[in-house]
Amino acid sequence: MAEIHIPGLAPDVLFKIGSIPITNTMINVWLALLIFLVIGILIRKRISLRPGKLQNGFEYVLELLLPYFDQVTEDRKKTMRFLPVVGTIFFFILLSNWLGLMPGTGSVTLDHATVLRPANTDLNLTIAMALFSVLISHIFAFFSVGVFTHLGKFVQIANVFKSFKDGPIAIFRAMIEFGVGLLEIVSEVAKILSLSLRLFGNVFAGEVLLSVMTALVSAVIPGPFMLLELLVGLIQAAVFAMLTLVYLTVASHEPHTAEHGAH
Amino acid sequence: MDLIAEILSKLGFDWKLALMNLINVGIIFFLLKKYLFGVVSKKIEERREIIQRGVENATEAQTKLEMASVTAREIIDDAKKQANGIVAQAVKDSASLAESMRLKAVADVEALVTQAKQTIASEKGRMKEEIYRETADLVLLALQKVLGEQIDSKKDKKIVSDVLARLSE
Repeated sequence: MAEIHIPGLAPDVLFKIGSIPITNTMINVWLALLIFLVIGILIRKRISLRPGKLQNGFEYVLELLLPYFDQVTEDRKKTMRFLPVVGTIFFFILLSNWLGLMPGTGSVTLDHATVLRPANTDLNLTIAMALFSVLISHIFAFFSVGVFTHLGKFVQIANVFKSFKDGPIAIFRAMIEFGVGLLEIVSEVAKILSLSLRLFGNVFAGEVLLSVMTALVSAVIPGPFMLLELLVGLIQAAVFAMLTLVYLTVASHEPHTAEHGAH
Repeated sequence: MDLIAEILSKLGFDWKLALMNLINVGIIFFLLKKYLFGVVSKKIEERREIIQRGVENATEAQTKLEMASVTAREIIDDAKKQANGIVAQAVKDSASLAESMRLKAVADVEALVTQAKQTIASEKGRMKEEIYRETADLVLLALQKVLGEQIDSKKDKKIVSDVLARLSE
């Protein structure tokens, strides 16, 4: 039985560029970036109304995904608007997770540090993606409903001042709405934490499981677990992408004012 | 907040690495937007529009075809009506023409018969005169032989007249 090497929570730093550490998970991110670049250039170069094999394959996957996205947005135009963001997140997480199953990941070392490690086993990346997801949902909201209207969802101070004219019930309701606005701010932070920790936890657990299984029996037995990781990689990519889509859709809706609620 | 930061730190969080990763994610987003989703979704939209136009054109063509069929049916009906009219007129004209030709033929035949009768009458008169003259000469000659003398004009006339009178009886 080989020695069981359980990867640490933090990625290994391979080298530094200036003061910036370059980790083994970052190598996987760059690998994914390179693959996307090559596929992107090939598709863009041969883009046509009568698609080639690669374009056709990509369009097929898109056509599979778009109906699911439509169920959330309920509008194909919105789906197409959000597609670059949600699609990027989905394909990047999927590719990163599946690259983690590539031979050499976790086994090729440089100065006792593994050169390749699944990108999403790094909390820094999952937090960065969650941050990207939440930030871009707010940017879309600024363009969709306006900066002040959107910020008004979180800081509902104007309603408090207006309510002074309408009596104690209105003041009470305005105070509750103000409190709800503050809770919304907390929920935005919670979104980042839940998105990042869910993805990190699942992928890291999978990596630990695979490391242990591979150390126990190097052939055959890890196979089913690798298949399971393929599925987990797909599910986690779908969950992260769909949640981002929900955030984008909700953020681009007009807020319900007291007048709207009364109707 | 400190507790969260401490937990995250224990999980390997490093803001520098997170920032680097955020930049990486941004680059991937830009790359995919520019090279994949932008161009492919544009092509899909173009294709959808072409298909939509094709369907609309096909529907329009179908409508036009149906309208053309109706128009063609109307034209055929009109043509049939006109053809029936033309045939009826032709029958009428042909009957009229046949009648006029028949009348003309009758008139021509009558004219021919009249002309033939006139010719026959004229020929008959001329032949009669010829016969008279020949007969007179013959009788004169025979008489001269019988009488053995020359008949003068006065005698001649008398004899001829007598003979002819007897012949005509």
